[in-house]
Amino acid sequence: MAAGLLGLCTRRLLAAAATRGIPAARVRWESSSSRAVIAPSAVVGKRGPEPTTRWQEDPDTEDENLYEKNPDSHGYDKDPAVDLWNMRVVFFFGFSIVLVLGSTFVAYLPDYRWSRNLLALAVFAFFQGASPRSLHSVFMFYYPSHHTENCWCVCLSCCVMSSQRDHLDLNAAQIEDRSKRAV
Amino acid sequence: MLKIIIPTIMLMPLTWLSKKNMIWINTTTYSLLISLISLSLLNQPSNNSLNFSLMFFSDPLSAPLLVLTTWLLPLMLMASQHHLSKEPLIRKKLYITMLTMLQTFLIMTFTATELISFYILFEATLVPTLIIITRWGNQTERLNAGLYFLFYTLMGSLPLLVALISIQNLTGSLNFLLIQYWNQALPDSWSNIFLWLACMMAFMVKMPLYGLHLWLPKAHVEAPIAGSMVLAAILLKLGGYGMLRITTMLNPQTSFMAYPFLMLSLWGMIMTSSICLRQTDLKSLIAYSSVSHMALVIVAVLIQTPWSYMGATALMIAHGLTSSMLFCLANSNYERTHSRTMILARGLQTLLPLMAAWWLLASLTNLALPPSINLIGELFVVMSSFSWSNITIILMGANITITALYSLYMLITTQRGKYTHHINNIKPSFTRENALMALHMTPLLLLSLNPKIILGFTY
Repeated sequence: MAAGLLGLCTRRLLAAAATRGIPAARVRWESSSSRAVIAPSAVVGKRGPEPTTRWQEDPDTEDENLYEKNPDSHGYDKDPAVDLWNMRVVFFFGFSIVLVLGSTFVAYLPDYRWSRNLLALAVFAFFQGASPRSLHSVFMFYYPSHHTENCWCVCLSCCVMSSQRDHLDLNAAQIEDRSKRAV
Repeated sequence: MLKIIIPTIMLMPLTWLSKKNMIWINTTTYSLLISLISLSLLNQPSNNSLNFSLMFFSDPLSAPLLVLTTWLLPLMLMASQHHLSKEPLIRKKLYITMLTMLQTFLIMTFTATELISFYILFEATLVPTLIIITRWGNQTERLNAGLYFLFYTLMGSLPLLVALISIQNLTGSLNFLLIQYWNQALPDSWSNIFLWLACMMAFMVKMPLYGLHLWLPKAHVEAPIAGSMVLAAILLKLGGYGMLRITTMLNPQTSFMAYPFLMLSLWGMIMTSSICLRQTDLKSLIAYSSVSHMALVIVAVLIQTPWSYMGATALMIAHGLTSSMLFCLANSNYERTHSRTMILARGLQTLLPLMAAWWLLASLTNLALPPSINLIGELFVVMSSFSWSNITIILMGANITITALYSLYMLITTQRGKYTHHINNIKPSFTRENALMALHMTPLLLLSLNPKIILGFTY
């Protein structure tokens, strides 16, 4: 305990020496009971100021403040004219052209999977012997607004396919196989 | 495809011939226009693929990745403008040239039809990335990071070259378009097991798989902002893309060879998420977060079900945008405080409220908040892994929880609380930074409205 107290006093003495600028005595104390060692700092004299920029990993004391010379800086360039045009270009091409036109293009992309499924349904129904009227109702269910076009398309395709179907003598398994291969 | 490749190559003469005050404006403008052209690839009418030529093709898997690649170049240019402002003109042009070269190689990699061509371009992407990391990184550790990055990837991919040459001898062709019709199963033998390993290890290192991931935190942390963005957003996805392509010809070995890697990924996602909770370095946290998310993609690819493939593709796109945005946010902190330590720049919400909004959005998408595409990807992967084995739900659930924990930890540490005394004179956010975050977040939110374009070829 005495050794511990002695160590404590030594630490306080050394701390006082460090902060008050008293030249630190070249004293080194080593505990006999533990591995504690108290040694003065190698720097003699007052402790230096707390590091302000040294804590940075990448200190750049010449960090330029773009707002100083140009309060309306957008962060692109020191030259205000180049900075302004760069901002305009980014907003115009980035937002107005690419995002707006691009998202419009993507939104209006046809749903090929849906149309392929609808075709598969119609072809399967046709080879099962469905009437043109029931095929028409399949298309009408999905595309009620395209009434006239639907009528013509279905009629035309039914005429063509029915002329082919009449020439074919297919059983149920062959019909199913053909309809699957058609899609 | 030449309508995308040639303009990208021409960005290099554009950079070198532009006037000093026009380099950034010209390159940003034209790279944005190239990304607009690449959107046309999302129109995939065929069930199979869009074949442009014998050398290039695109399908519902490669098209979203290609659009992400072309979209990222203007964002990288915008993010790099500040830290390069003091560099001499020649070095600025060289930097942009490196980014453009990398972009060209990436575009060609994602659209290559021949596997050997894919391999050569896959390796070629290492060179500009290495130059960017080692030349323009900030700390001396960048050299070590470059070494780790280069040699990990090379060690993994050299066996792939041998395997590809062997497969070329066996099948006669390494064309993706033909290989998908190669119905012959690989005979069960030791040499085919090594063939499987040789084919997959390159992509496992690239993803990276937990256990082979040591290069990633170093490379991401030491790289400058554009390097971090392209590494996190695109280069990791090269691994996922490669795995998705090559597994089509590695059956039936995949069904039993995948087990150790599935276990490693399932455990690795927990480990890397947990490590994130103990990180003091902000970029390191985001880097480990990338490992965790990519482990989900590895699990999805190795399970090989339609839903898992949809989840993998969606997660790759979502993570690309989210991770890139997080790196940009970390960089905006770094440019002000010149430190990556999180607690040194805390309480920023009081000082930079709009940036705090971007931090909030990025953190919420990182933790896969509905209805973002991050959730769609993760949910598909979790559901398909549950279907593969019910017990995985425990690990997946733990991963989702820990992901939420470290995302919120990152948000709260940097944004909430009292700000420190040494940062009360930081500069307000620039329009450039806010535009950069908006250009990351807007596609992410728009894709939530129409996610089917990023669900890949099994949709």
